[in-house]
Amino acid sequence: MKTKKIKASRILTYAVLIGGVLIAVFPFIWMILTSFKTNAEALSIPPTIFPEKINWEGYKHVFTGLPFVKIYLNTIISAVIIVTAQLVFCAMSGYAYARINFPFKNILFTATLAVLMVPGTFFILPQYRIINRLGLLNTIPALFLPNLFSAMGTFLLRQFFLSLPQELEDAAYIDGCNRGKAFLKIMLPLVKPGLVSLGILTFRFAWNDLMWPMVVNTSTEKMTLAPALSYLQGQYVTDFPGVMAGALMAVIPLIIIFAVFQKQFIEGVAHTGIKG
Amino acid sequence: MIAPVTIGLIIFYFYPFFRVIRDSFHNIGSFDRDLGFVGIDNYSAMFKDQEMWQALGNTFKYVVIIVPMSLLFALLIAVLLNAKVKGLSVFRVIYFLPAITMSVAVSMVWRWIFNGDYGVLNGILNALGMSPHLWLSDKSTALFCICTVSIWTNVGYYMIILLAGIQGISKGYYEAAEIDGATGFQKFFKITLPLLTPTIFYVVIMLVISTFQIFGEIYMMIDQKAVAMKYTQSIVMHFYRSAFSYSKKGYASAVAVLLFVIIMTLTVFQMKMQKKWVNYE
Amino acid sequence: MKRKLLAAILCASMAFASLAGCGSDEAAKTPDAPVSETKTEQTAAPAASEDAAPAAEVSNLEGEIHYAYWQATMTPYLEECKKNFEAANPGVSIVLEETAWGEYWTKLETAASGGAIADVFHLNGPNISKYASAGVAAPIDDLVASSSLDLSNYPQGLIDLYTVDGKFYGIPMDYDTIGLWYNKELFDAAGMDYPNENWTWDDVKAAAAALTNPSTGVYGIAAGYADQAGFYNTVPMFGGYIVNDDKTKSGFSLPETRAGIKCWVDLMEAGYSPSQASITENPDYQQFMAGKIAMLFAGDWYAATFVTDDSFKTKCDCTYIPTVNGKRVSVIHGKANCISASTKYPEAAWAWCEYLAGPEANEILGKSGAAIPSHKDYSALYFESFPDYNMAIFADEAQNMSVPYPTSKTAAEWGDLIWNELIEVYSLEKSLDDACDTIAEQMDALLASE
Repeated sequence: MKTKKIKASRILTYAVLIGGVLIAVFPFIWMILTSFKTNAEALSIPPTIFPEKINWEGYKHVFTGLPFVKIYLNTIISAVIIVTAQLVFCAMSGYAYARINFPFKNILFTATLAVLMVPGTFFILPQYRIINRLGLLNTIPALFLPNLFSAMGTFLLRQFFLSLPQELEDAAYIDGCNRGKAFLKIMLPLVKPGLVSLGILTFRFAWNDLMWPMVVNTSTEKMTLAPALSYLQGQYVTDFPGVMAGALMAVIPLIIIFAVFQKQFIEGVAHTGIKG
Repeated sequence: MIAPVTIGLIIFYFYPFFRVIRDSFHNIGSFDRDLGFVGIDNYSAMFKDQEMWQALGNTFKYVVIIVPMSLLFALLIAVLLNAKVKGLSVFRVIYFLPAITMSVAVSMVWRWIFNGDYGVLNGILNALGMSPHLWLSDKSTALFCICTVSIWTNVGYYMIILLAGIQGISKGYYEAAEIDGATGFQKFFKITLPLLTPTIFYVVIMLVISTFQIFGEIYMMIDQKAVAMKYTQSIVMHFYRSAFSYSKKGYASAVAVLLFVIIMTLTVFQMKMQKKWVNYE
Repeated sequence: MKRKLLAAILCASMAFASLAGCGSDEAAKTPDAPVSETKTEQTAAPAASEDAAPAAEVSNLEGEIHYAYWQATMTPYLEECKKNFEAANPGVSIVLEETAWGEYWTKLETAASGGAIADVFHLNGPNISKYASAGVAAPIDDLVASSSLDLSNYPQGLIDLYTVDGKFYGIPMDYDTIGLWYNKELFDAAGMDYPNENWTWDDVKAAAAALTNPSTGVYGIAAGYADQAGFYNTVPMFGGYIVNDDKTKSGFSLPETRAGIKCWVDLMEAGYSPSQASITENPDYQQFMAGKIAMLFAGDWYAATFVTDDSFKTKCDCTYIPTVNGKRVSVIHGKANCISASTKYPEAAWAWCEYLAGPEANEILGKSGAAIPSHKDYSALYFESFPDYNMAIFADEAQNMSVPYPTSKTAAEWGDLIWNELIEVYSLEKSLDDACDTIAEQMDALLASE
């Protein structure tokens, strides 16, 4: 009796999980299928499921309509710079706030926390003017400059540093390490999960951000992928295979990176919940 | 060591913070020209602006729908995945997929799925003998379409966090409960849920903050010139349109201040409420 | 009103409409093809027989000129111009920046606020005053005066449109009028005669009723919100106006103006057109091309889009806008190339504008089929690109029955206002009179602020 009940609940569990998987995957499948259709096929009523034959028109349209390779590079360059800078800067400040005493520490930390509370959109107009004043509109630095510094990252890494026992560091000093060496050799490796989490959060943000790059870089040559997709959608209103091809090409690198580093990704995200 | 972050924050965050507040008392016209101090004109215009109230109402609808639904589905899947299912890692990866892909790209696909004439959703409904619907143009359904997309992107991400939280609960509790003959449901409500509250709290805070700022999905799925825009635009979208489409940057600054005040209040409120329901071991 | 608009334009073009078969159907896709194919017969456009690519002198101009525009079908034409211009000016490189219509104005203004606006950009009627009076666009009177360009070659109505406070800001590059496009296949299937120049608004309405068939999902007409392709034409036909000639008063309180809008809303109410929501989701021209709409009011520039669809291009044709009380009017509009006041390379920017206004670029534009070249000697070339369509009507309308595009200094603002109010009327959610009352009041206030 009991085993039957367990069995039934097992089946139900798998049914729900597989149902969920279908919903999670369906848009991707539909994106792939549509991208290989001709426009006439895409617009047929009722919709056909499979393209009659693999058709590359949609992909061609993306490349003729946009400097797609350049846009890829812009996105990668800006994302890599943002992630690297945040990791370096936030590790430094996170460590300092966790371990070092210096004047005005509390005031500065409170101010940093305050920034954390303010929605990012709030800062956009003045940030735009600053970038403009620096003569950097329509340049790559405009994409990353304000995002190099993160209150959230500082806070997150400070939490990680705080959780490390003080004895570890003291032991390093006894062994003759100075502060810098203790930071680099002992402390930093121990907060690796924190760095991974921050890296993932930041990368996800940098790759997805729409409003900021759209506002500072109006030239297609200097765009990132998110605004480029919006551009594509506006320009090819009626060309659904082209739009889907663009969307697919934009997400493929993310899926590949995810496939390679999935363990780190999932652990990194899981950690944000525990430490945040 | 704090110099880079502090200097960066001062230039790109502290200064802008005060600048936005100042600008909200100025009339800033097209081409970003400051036409002078206007007192609280922007604020009174904002509170008289029907579109702003509508946007605010929409935003609350988003929060009220997206946050609980995302949490519920994420929790459901996390609990199911925790039940020693085969192929856990495969499931985890697939569920995480929507979260790792760009929301902009994903919104485009959903827009295509929802398309009133050629979309596959209407195709399926048609095949089932139901009548098609203009999902994204009908002002009564457009908002729910955007909610669907947002929930769809959220679930996998927060599921991972919740699953980690569940797995962090000490096995001892469950073993003790099993000795007492507890059923699966009892275990969930008496052990899992209470001990998971800190993680749930974190998830709720993150969901509220991100949902309150919903923008990309709306921008990608609803035409700026569509009737449905009024009925779907969030407060951030209203800010964007005021600042950039209608070039009223002083007014937009006032909207930004309002957004800030609301998020601040919500966060403080949640922190206060936290004591009432979050268990720290 | 400026009835003498475009005098002397295109007398020859009438003839070309009958020259079926000499052009290439691929015109919009491959601009190079018709250049060689259509060269034979026409003699009307004098410079058409001149050799392209002067290549005589090499200039010493320098700079990188960013060029912003929105019409995607212009890209092949612009690429050819860029190639020729760069060959003649090795120091200059042209960067073409196309932006979708929906984002063009937001982006242009954002860029302009930061002084990062393209060196040369397209402006239209509703926006010229705004960009001119803010000093974003540079006046070009002196440049024109010292060049070899003769402004009398361009439609006077458009020269006026781009003159603000006595200064001239942009050379019109093309012009357009509105016609009635129809799907021949749907008319054939219903056993009905095609629309012709004798049609009145009532004929259109009756045909729309007869062609609307809910069981096949076919609608008789697209009557969704449209200004340039919609009520900007019918309002003057009913005797009303959008803004008076002095730019001091809006016409929305007049019953005549309202009648010119009501005629569209009636079609929506009768269910002869897809709903406003449906047209928002899939634009009317696309539904027209998909065979779901039998009649479409649209500008000549749609020809370039229609011919890109091989299965559709032979199914449609166009004719005059129908008459109302014996009166027929089409609004005329055209884009202009304007120079940024903050460009780093004013000489090169002007040279590019001058080139685009000149014979060679006009010839390329005409043959590309993307738009009607504004230079009177080359408009005819455009019509040849579409031998299957009755394109001559657009020239005739421009010449004989056009009204200027309604505009004023706050046109961009009242344009938004009108849209905001009327879109709900077209969606059948608000009464026309309520909306017009609001528009009249707020638009008068805007006009007074000028």
